[in-house]
Amino acid sequence: MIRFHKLFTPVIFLPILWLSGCGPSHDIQQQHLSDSIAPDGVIYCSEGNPSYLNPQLDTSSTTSDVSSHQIYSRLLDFDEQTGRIQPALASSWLVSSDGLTYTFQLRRNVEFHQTEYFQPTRSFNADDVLFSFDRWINPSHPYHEVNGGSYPYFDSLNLAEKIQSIKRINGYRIEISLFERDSSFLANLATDFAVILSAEYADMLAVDNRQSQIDFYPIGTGPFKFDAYQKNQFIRFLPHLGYWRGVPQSAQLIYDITPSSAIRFAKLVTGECDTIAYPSQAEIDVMRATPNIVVEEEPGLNVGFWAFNTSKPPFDQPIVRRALAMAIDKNSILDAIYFNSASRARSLIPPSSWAYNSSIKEVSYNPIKAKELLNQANIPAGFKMTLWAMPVVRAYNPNAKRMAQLIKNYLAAVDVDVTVVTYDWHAFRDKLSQGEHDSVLIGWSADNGDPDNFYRPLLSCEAIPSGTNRAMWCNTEFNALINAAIRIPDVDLRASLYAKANNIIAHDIPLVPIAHANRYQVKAHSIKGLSINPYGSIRFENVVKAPKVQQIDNQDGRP
Amino acid sequence: MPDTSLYEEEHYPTPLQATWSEFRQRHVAVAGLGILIFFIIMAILGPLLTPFEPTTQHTDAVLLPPAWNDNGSILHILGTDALGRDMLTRLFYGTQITLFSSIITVLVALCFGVILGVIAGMSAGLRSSFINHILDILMLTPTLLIAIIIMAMLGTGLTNAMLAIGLALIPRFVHVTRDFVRQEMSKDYILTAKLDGATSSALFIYNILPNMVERLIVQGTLAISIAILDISALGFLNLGAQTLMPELGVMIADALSTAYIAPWNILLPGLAIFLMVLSVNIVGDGLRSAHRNRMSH
Amino acid sequence: MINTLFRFLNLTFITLCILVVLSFALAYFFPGDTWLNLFGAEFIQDQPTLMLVAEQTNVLMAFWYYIQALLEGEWGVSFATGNALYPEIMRLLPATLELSLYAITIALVLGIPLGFIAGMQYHKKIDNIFMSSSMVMYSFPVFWLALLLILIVSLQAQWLPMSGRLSLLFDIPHRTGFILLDIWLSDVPYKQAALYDALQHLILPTLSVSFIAFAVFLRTTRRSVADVLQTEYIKCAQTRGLPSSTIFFRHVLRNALLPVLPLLALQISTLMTNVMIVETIFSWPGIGDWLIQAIYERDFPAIRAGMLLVAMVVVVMTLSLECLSQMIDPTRDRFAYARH
Repeated sequence: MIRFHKLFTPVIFLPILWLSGCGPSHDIQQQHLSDSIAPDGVIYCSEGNPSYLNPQLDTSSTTSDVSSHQIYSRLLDFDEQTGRIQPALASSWLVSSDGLTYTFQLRRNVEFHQTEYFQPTRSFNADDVLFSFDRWINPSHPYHEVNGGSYPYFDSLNLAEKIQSIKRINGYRIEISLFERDSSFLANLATDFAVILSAEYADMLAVDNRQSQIDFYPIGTGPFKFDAYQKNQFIRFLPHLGYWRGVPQSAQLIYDITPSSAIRFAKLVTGECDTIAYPSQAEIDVMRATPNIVVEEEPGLNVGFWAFNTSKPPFDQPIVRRALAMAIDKNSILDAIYFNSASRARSLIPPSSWAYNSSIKEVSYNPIKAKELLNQANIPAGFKMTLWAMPVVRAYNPNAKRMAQLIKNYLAAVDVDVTVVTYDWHAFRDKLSQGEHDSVLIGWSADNGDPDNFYRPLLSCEAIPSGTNRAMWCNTEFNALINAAIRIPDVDLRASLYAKANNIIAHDIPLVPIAHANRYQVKAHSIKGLSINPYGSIRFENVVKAPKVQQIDNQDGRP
Repeated sequence: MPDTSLYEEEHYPTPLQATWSEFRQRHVAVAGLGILIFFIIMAILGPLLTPFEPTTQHTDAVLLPPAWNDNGSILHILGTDALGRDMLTRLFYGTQITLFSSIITVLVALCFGVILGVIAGMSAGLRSSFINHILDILMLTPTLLIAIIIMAMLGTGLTNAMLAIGLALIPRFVHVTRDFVRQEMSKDYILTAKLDGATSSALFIYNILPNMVERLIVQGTLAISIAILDISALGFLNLGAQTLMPELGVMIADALSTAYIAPWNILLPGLAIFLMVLSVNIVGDGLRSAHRNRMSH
Repeated sequence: MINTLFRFLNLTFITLCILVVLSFALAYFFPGDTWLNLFGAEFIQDQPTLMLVAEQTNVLMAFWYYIQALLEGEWGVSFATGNALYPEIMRLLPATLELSLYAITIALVLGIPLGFIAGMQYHKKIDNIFMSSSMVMYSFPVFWLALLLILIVSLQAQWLPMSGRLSLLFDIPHRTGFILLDIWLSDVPYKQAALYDALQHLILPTLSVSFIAFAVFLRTTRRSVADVLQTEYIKCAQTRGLPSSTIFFRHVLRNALLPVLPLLALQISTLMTNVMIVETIFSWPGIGDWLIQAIYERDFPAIRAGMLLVAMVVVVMTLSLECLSQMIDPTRDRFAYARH
């Protein structure tokens, strides 16, 4: 069948020839050279759709991850390494001696995004700060009700009520007055949620009566400007060429919306994503073993603990609590429940916070001593107590029921009979706030980098009625310390006060801290400049993707 | 008379026996039949033999690889899935569910198809033309689409999946029946029976049906393989059997989240489906060839 | 010829009518409020004709306005997203069509010639090899095949990507919806790289679908060729001493291809099912993936609209093929479906 060959050969070979012409190394002509090079950029596999492109309106981490550090800047920022507050859009600030007035000097020559839907005519100034704050503080502000009118983070802290006034001193100076001293105020300004919007853009939209666009076609001063969003598919950002910290080095930033964590992982392996969100625990170990994938971990700002109901005897006796704490082996609990994804908690505060002091003396595993102390306190053998285990999965405790079983075994060895109790999450929390428990396995994830966010909701006297103080513990000395600390602006002074508070907790043992769950970041080997941000959502501004050629060199020499 | 034996009986094989002897001559077909019988036995006896239940979670033995792997254990010969459920047990139960639901679906579709086909074949005019049209549309619509509509109306679940696939399979049997009936109606032996005074139904049951059985069997095996593929596909998409059932398609879908870590959870159920379908196809092909050979002799 | 054409148009028209009636009736059969199932929302601003349907008291009048609305592209909105259905479906349809088209083409281009070879070598070694391999090939569950390809080619060897049509780094404006065409028509600076990337994304999904279709086409063609070779006139031609090439090209080729066409037309519906399943596995943004998401979310207006469109496309395609084959060979018995 010779005729077949004559017909088919060119038909088969033509596309092969054409395809082989692709690829940068074989092209000679300049025009073809640029034609065949793929565009550059960083692809992040994210876990879901943001509800708005503005973190003021939503506390969901999905929304913050997309918008907070990409599209916007804040007045202040947290330093990723130390957790200290750094200047951002506010180049410097002063706090009055009575602690009630904050004066911020604003940075000059900060430019807003230039996009198809908005061209700024001026750079950032005090009017933008006023607009961004008034929007959520002032219920009668024209933009307050736009897209819902609820600002969950600020509402939960009642921040609007704490602020007496915001005044524009001049074009680059703002003065904020509070009703009471509050040392966490600056920290709140550095959270993901306190972003600065463009007043000029807001005015432009108001003229056309398209106000709701401000949260869907956003304008900010952040490193990336919004380009496109297709729900369930992707979000595309382009670099902001006038970014005040310098143009980001990624040519584009793309969020590839992939709800399944297994598929995110697969895409990381095939190279379709450069870094991914929320890897699942089971995959971490495999990722560690995969070449070209880097797994970074850091203890997160969270703590899983075992709290005793100190309002119920005999748990009101510190000696009983100390005995029970000594009866359990934290290390084996860490191994069995957390599978290497958490670090042992020595105090309530995790090591990543500046209020952590490593000199804390924690209780060690000593069942014999535990039995002694129980005898001393006249606790009979076979003493019955309940252990409430939360029914939901959290990073700080992925399997409370199983942990409860383990603790039950340990306590059985010191003749304490434990009954494990659980309800569905809603009922569980209700009953806990009624104080029906003897002890409970639960935990806490911080909202911001300020240590007060750990101590106050978990162990202050005022937190008992609001229900977050699971230990029902009220220690006047401790309370005085944390209240004093919040009024002092100086970080080192605060740290020393918190050190004393830590000692009180370690001595009194209202709760036994068990673990600080790690936060993970999994990324391709070629990604540099991306680090775990324990104080907020992900930041892409310094991310650089090393081109493939360079990558080979790196693998030779670098450790 | 070519035959010189006086005392031995003449033995003329029945059509079925003739087909069977033709079938037996093709070794591949017999091998396929062997595999199929193996699966049927596995589906019936397997669940009785295993020490485990398909739904018990052995939390200390999660994601174990099969026993021949270094990390595997002989207790779970084919490993466990992400919740610690034994893979071999689940394969047995899964084969049972998939195989039997396919067979039931095909049998039901066959009955309805034959009845409709007879009506269509024996009648003519507007009624037959209308039935033809509906059937044509049913045959042309993708099975998944029919399944989606049934799911939307009645909800998800294995029985609804079986209903949907049964609906999609009916047209095949209708066509076979109708063509055959039409063809036979013009033949002499039918005429003879009619002249004898046979009623339409007697005509069908005693004259046409026995001749049709073989074709139905051939068509039926083809339909079983399609049913197995479609039921497991619907299970995979979570539109058929739901996640609690150890159905083979559902097992593959469950295994997706640990695909990179434990690929055997995808390989083994899929292999079971593949081998089942392959054996049914081999048997069906063998039957078809045997039938064709018998007809041409 | 005209007769056939007329019959075809008649048949298509009746079928489309039945489909439209069905899509209307499904609004009643699906659970929930009938009008909501029909429209997707209480009131839709830019779909006035559709709104008229709600105002009718007579079912027939409602149906009449429904047909009008369909023709004007007012297909209601989706429960889940609130977006108009017709533009969304038309945006996604080309992706599915593109995948199906490439899969069918590959299956045809490879299946038919190889089927001929197998048929010509009836019951000889090559034929047996082709028969056994094709049987193995079409016994594969399509979703398992796709997953195996991903596991081996994407995850293990990392040769090809496993999701989407194009890397997100490429920003190609949407014009026709056919990705290769859109890249060709666009004026981006990285055209060649984009084409290369799109082809890479196309390979695995197309392979998964065409794998099975190829096996079926091969067997169908082979059976047809074998049947033709048994006929009297071929034997007659052979005894006359005609060279094999003449016999082949003048007699066997055409006569074998003719019965194959309608049988291949039947395969279109199976192919569509496979395409829809493969779309979900590869996150291919087409109608199949969209419909399956719609059933998960119980988005009834979307299901109705999607079903109508897909059924229409499949029916039109299949009936056109039948008409074509009828026109080429008027003697063919149209009802020879099940013989194969």
